[in-house]
Amino acid sequence: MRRYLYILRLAARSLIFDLRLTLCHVFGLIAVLVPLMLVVGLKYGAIQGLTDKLNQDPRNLEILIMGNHDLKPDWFASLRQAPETAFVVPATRSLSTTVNLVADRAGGALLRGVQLYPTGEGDPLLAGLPVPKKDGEVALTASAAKALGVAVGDGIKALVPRRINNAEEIVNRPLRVIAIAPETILSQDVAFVTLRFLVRTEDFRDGKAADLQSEQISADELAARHYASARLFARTLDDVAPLAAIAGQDDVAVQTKSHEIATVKLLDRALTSIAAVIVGLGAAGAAFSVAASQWANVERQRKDISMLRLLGLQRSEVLLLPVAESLMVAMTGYGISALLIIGVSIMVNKLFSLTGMSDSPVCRLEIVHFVWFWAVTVAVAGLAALVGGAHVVKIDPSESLRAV
Amino acid sequence: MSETQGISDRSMSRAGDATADMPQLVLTIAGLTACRSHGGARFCLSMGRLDLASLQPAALVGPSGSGKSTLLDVLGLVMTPTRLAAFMFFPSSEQPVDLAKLIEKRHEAGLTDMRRRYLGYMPQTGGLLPFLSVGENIRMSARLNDRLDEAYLDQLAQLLDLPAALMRRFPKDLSIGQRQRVSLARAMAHRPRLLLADEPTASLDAVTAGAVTGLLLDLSPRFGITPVIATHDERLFGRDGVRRLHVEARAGAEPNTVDAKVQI
Repeated sequence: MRRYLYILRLAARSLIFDLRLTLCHVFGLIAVLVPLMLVVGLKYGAIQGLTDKLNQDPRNLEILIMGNHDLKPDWFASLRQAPETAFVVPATRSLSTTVNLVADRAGGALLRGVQLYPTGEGDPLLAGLPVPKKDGEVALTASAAKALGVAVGDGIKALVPRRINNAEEIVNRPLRVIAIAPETILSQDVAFVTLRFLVRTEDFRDGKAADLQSEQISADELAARHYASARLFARTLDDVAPLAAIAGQDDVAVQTKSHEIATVKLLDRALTSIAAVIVGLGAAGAAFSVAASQWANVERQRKDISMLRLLGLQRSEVLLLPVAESLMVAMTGYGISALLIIGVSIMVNKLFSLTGMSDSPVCRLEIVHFVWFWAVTVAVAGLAALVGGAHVVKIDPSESLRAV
Repeated sequence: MSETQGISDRSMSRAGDATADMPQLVLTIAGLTACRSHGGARFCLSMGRLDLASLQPAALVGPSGSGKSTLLDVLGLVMTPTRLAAFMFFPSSEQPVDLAKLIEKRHEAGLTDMRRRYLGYMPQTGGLLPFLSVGENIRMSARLNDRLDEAYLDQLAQLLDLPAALMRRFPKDLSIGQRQRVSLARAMAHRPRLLLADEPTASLDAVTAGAVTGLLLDLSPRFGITPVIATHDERLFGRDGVRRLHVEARAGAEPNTVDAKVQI
């Protein structure tokens, strides 16, 4: 054991003695590793970031029902049973669900043409926020809340006009703001309400109801109704297309961002392939580079290695010398490369962030990537050193006795 | 080099008898033929029986190309003889080692072990490791044997005129004479039983060569080491007490062959 430790020490001394040559080997490795790490970082950061963003943005998961239809309870039932469905709620005709809102205080601002969205438990647009469960509750988008000058807990009134028997009639319904959805989720003026309140609003505007007292509609009646539209969300990007196919049965017109999603996926696959080719070629180049430098290193030290054999180092012991040297160079090169790539990542991400080109990291390397790079570097360096080492064990100890 | 033949039981028992009769021996080698082929020419060295007495310096004398280095390689366990009747090594306080058997069985690990423990080498150009300081070079053979004795090494350095200031320097900073003295110190650092020196004075001027020869012959026996020196300069080893073994080569019977013999 002591002899092995001594050989490690000899390896370190040899590297330090030929510092310039050692640094050349280290820099050679860095020159290969850093661009490889950058490629992986960019691939993982830019493309994964884009995919994550698409995945995380609920609007990309939405399947829009275009126009008005006659959607029966069966249609909703089949969607609720589909594993691809994250959220589905019936909706009325869009024209019937536009109301005016006013802050419930003296001189409160009036906001016209606010879209009412039916909502419920699990609505992706209100993820993490309280969801209106009672008909007197409302969640506003940030732009609507800002225009009305209201905050969570404030009261507002929904003003619903209708023309009936050539006479203009406006009724109002007090509502309490229980949540405000951030602008990043939805930038339009929208008020999220219960389905029952939405249905009552439609009925009122159609002249079927005398007021907005939605409590009069029973749950059975709600379930049995036919609806003109729906709000529908898939679980993942991959679920969007199949769910759209289910929703699109019976000539229901649907629209998704599937084209954009497909483009990103195609780009992801293409960049993954390109990155794999670059990383593969780079790794092969690194392996050849390390192997060649090891071979040259062994040739350079031929006389010294022969002397070590003459002085009584076994073949297996002398093999440790190039292997240890190679691993020391590889670990130094890897360590410096890791530090450099962390710095480069920070710079690239800051640059993209400052220029507003991306708000998520463009270059991202996680611990697992560093572990992979470490493992591959060690494996390649070790393997290459063994190639050089195979040469070492053949060196005849008598070589050192002869004058050169 | 590839064929080791003729290691008979009779030879072994004869070598065993020698152990009892001559306890002061370092080694006994008999019935040796060692051949090398190079560039189409074949060189063969043959030798009868050689008993090397403990602490008696031996000089292998002969012109260049006569086969001194070949014999040194065999004694240094780095060359496999073509034929060998007996080869016994006698460590000072341990059981004799039958090197012929190790060679016959191609027990390389065992031979390497023998080299490390019992042999010291002083190559023509010093053979110092360039990346180690003088001090580290000297300590190396002792470290490899776990026999680091700083007091002994200090004494050795003093006797070889290697001042402390020199210990931190590297071989490239030394004169050839200094390198040879450092090489000698390294060869003796682990107190080997046998010290093999291959033309240690070939690169030195006459004065330095004389000094190095003197150190080699005087110091080795003082520390229980038996030196065997290959040299073409017989005058350096003409002093009393040095056993001279003449190696002579002549053209062989077949073309491109040289036959060499050691005159015991």
